[in-house]
Amino acid sequence: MTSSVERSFSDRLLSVPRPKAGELVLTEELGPGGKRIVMVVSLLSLLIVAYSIYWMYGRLGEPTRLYPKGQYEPSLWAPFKQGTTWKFLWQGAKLTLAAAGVGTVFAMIIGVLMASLRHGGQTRKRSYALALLAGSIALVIAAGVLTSARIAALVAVACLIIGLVFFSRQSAAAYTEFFRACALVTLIASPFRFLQVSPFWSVVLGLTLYYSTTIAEVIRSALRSLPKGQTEAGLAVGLTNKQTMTTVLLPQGLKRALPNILTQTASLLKDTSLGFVVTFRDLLTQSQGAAKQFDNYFPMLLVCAALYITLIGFINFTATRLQRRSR
Amino acid sequence: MRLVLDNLPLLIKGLLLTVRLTLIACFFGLVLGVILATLRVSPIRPLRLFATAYTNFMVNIPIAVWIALFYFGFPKIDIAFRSNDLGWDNFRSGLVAIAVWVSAYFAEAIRSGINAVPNGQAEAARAIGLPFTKVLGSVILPQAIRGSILPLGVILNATYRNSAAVSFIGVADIVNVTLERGDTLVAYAQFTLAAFAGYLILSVVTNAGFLALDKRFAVKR
Repeated sequence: MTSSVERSFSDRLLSVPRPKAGELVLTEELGPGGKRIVMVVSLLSLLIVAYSIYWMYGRLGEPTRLYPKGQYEPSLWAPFKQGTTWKFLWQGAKLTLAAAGVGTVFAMIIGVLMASLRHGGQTRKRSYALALLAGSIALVIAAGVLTSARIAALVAVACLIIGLVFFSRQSAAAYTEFFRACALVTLIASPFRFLQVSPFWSVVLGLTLYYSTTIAEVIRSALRSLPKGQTEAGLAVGLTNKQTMTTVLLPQGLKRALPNILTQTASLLKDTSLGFVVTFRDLLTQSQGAAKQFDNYFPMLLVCAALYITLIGFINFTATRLQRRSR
Repeated sequence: MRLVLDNLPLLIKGLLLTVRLTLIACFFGLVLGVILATLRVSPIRPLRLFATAYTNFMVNIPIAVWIALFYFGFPKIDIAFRSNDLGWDNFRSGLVAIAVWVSAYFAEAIRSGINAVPNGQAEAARAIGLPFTKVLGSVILPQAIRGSILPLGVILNATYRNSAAVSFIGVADIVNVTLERGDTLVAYAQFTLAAFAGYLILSVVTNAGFLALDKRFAVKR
């Protein structure tokens, strides 16, 4: 195929995607009849898309009881000309970004720890690990019933740390599997309800608990995809298990996992919007509040969606770029 | 514990609402997702671009925003999802929002299922002279869907949890019910644990079901 400059419009319209590695070839090179069919359907679909845009444009302008110009009524868009509206939205965006940023950092730290412990940590007898697990569950429940939720949380953290020290692999596996199975909404609501922490930290904690497990899984699969020779070579030159992990395996594994980690980060940013269950005043809640005040739900929520798509699209764009570069 | 048991009918109602919402939304989402996946591999460029744009648009905006837009925004331009003449129904708005949102995820899963079908299948189908529609419809797609049962299960599971975002528009799903009961009766711990247990039951049942389906239907290679 020649360069795209020389290709005519119809050529470009017709071009069957050149299959990348691992993709199926579903069509033959098109003959004259096939080209005609594809051409007609292409033009038809373009027409349909154009018509639906035109229809939507008209639909938005249709007069309603309150607004003679429909959604093009200037009063609906006037709030966006005021700095205060943007300031109000920015307050929400700031909290969204802050929660996502802090959550990502925590989730990364715990995720790397859990992945490396689960990949290269020590295992002991299964019965001992199960006994420790049962004991710590009983201890946490007892602490919760007898004292306060805060003390129960502290006991849980202490049990986890003890488990990670003595049964690193099994404890990391238990942590990952448990929190991965939890619904994120309940994880976000729990700290707020039980520990009376602020909405912000409640969201951060919930996101951290959930996303540390997904990030741990992403990193662990990257670690597993490394050739076995890497570990063996590290041990052969006299590094300890821990040194092999930190100086040989983790740097390579993290590099491989980076695009997937970024995807998780984008998903984490999206899920900050679940903070409404703990009255977290994020971008969505703020735009909702502003829309209520100005009574311009449709424009305001569109702007809100556009802001989200910009933020998340940026992260996804970076992820794709990184993925392409690392190949 | 007694408080939870006393409110058990209410909780089960909330859980069933979550199940109903998710299953109906996922049914329509799956149909839409298959269509989108077809568009994405079709030889017609505008359709491919449309499907890609749709997917990116859906995936990059949080579900809570979509639900808010469908419930608060669209009725303002007279696109409302009414169940009766009394007004807009938040259940239906949430349902439609989740369906169009999850369809993008289904489309991605099915597309990667399509790419996982060995190339020989498509080559053989083309060699015996099947047109594109037949190649896709009777050879590739059945295998692709049968091969992507487990990813579909993962999406269904995620939708159970993400459907909690309908609490934002006041649908009485399991999360909404447990939060409201916990607030009224000042028994947060019990009711949060109840929500926890509800989701756990859902995810265990879904996982078991889809593992069985996969064992039964997945193409053995």
